[in-house]
Parts: sequence; structure tokens; C-alpha cells
Amino acid sequence: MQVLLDAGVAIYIAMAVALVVWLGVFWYLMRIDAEAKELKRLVLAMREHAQPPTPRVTIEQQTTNKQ
Amino acid sequence: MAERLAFTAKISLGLAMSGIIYAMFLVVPQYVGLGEAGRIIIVHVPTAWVTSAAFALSAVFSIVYLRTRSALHDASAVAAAEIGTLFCIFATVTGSIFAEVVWGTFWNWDPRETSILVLLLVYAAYFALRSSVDDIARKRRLAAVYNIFACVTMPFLLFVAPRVADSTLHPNCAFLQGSKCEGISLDLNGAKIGQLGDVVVELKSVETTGELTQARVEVRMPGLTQNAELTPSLDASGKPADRPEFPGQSFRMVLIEANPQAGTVRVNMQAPGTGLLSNQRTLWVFLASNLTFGFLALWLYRIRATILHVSALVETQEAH
Repeated sequence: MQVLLDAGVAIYIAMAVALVVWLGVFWYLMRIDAEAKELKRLVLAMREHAQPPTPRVTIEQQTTNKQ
Repeated sequence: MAERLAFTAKISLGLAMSGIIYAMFLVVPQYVGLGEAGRIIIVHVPTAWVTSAAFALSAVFSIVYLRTRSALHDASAVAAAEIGTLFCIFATVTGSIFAEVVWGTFWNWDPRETSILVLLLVYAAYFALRSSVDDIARKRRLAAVYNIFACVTMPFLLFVAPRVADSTLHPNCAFLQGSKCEGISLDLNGAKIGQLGDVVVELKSVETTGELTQARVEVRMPGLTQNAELTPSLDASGKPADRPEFPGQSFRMVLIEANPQAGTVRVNMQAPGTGLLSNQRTLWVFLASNLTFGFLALWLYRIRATILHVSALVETQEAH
């Protein structure tokens, strides 16, 4: 264990730890980025479907026969 | 196509940051007086600059929000402020680690430390304000106005205040000449007592012996039971020769100017790290690090903004 704290070795250990932490953070960010984009896509799709239908009016012309 | 480009950019960012970490430990050289601690500059300074950029971006979105009243602009302002705060915390923590190694304490209430803490509190108040108002429209309006005022304080707290202060141990001269790097003047026949950091210095004598002009300066420091005496000197060409270390500290006293006839000197506290970027390897790694941290902050901002935009869309839908 003591060998890990030697001046010549400790700097490599520190670099390895920093790299592992960064790779962990990077992997997490990639995942959360993809999930956030997917979520946005879903919400936008739902919003589109949830749009209230355009009001429609049917006009019927009635003619009365006057005899 | 756009998706593929974005993916390539993210992978490049991952590789670039890995390269920065490698270079920080194995390419950047050690520094006299700083040892391995000098490497922290590669992370500390870029995070501080990203902080200022993120807070400025946040204020821009707040201004746009006040013009458009679009929930998406408000969400962007929040995302940028959050990223700014996150990087501000990084800068504070890395600076604190540096302070422990170089100054011997994690927190010294140095003007630089105090001003960044105030900045963190200013933005903590921004988030507190947002969570304290229920009415959504009012919350967004108030927060946007507050955010603009908060951003106005940012350049003062980050760049001006620490340089105006007489006594900072922060190595400003590593990056910018001038500011408070000019030290303090002492006069045997006048103001012979001055303050450098939390150290009181008193000029006892200034004389030329041989090729050296030497000042005798008494030093009183907190925690020091006896007064110490330091003798910084200038060589014949007027350049600093002896730079004695302050007792129990790793920063040094440097004599900048001396006039033995008039009995005046100008002394300064030279923090380790001064002139750090004059080394080319450090300079290039430092510049690359600034760029990489900038892109990392941009990516984080985009992720957070996307999540907040979704939240704003859902909120708007529920309101209808």
C-alpha cells in the first residue's frame, strides 16, 4: 500500500483516479443526454396529439316548399 | 446528420477532457514553491471563467424572457445559472485545495475567497427566490429581474474586488500584470508600517552593501509568537535577489524597489504561482483546458435546458 503513495507512483494513481471519475461522469452525461432528448420528443408528440380538435360547423341549408 | 455530428462532438469532448487530465498530471511541470499543487491551475482557472460566462448567458436569457415572456427563455436562464453555480463551486473547492497546500489553510477569508463566496450566495438567493414564489408568471418575472442585477455584481466580485483589495494572497500576477501586484510602499521617515495579506510589516532599515541593496523588514503574523525579521534584497541591476520565505508559509517577501538615500522601499508578497504561465507546456495545456471546460459547460447547459424545457412544456399544458 505504501508504494502507491511514493512520489513517483502517486501522480499516476492520482491521474488514474481523475480519469476514472471523468469517464464515469462522461458515461452518465451521455445517458442522461439521450434520455432528456427522448423525453422531449415524447412530450412534444403528446402535445401534438393532445391539441384540442378544431371546431367544426356544419351548415345545412333548408329550403321550405311554399305551396 | 446533425445527430451524428453531435455524437462525434461529445465523443471528442470526452477524449479532449481525458487528454487534459493526462497533460495536467504528466505534461505540466512542477513549480518552485508549489510542487504538484501548481497543476490545479489547469482546472481552477477555466472553471472560474466558465462561471462568469454561464452567469452572463443566464442574464441574457433573463433579458430575452422579459421581452418575450416565453417560458423556454426562463428555463434557459435557470439552466445557465445552475451551470454557473456548479462551476463556481468547482472553482471554490479547487481554490480551497490550492490554499491548503500553499497558504496552509483551506479557508483564509482572503478577498478572493470572500468575493467568490458572496457570488455563490448571490446566486443561491436567485434559486431561493424562485422557490419562494408560487405564482409561476410572477416568479419568472421577479427571478429574471433579480438575475440581471446578480449578473451586474458578478464582474465586480470575480474580477474587480479581489484586485482592488490591498491584501490578497491570490497569485493574480500569474495572469495579469498590474492590479495589486505592485506591492506596498514603506518609508523609514513616514509610513514605515504596512500590511500584506494578514501580515503586518515594518521597515527597520534599507542599505546598500556591496552589490546588494538590502531591506530589513520586521514581520508580525497571526499565530507567530515572536516577530520575525526578513531581509529581501535587490541586485546591482535592480532585480530581486533574496526572496525570504514568510515564517511557516510558502510565499515569499520580494523587494521591488529600494532607495537607501530616501529610506523608501516597495515590498510585496509573492505568492507561489506567479509567472506560472510563462512555461509553454503549461500555457498550451491551460488554453486547451479553457476550451474543453467551455464545451463541457455548454453540453451540461444543453442537457439541463432540455430537461427544464420539457418541464416548462408540461407546466404550460397543465395550465391549459
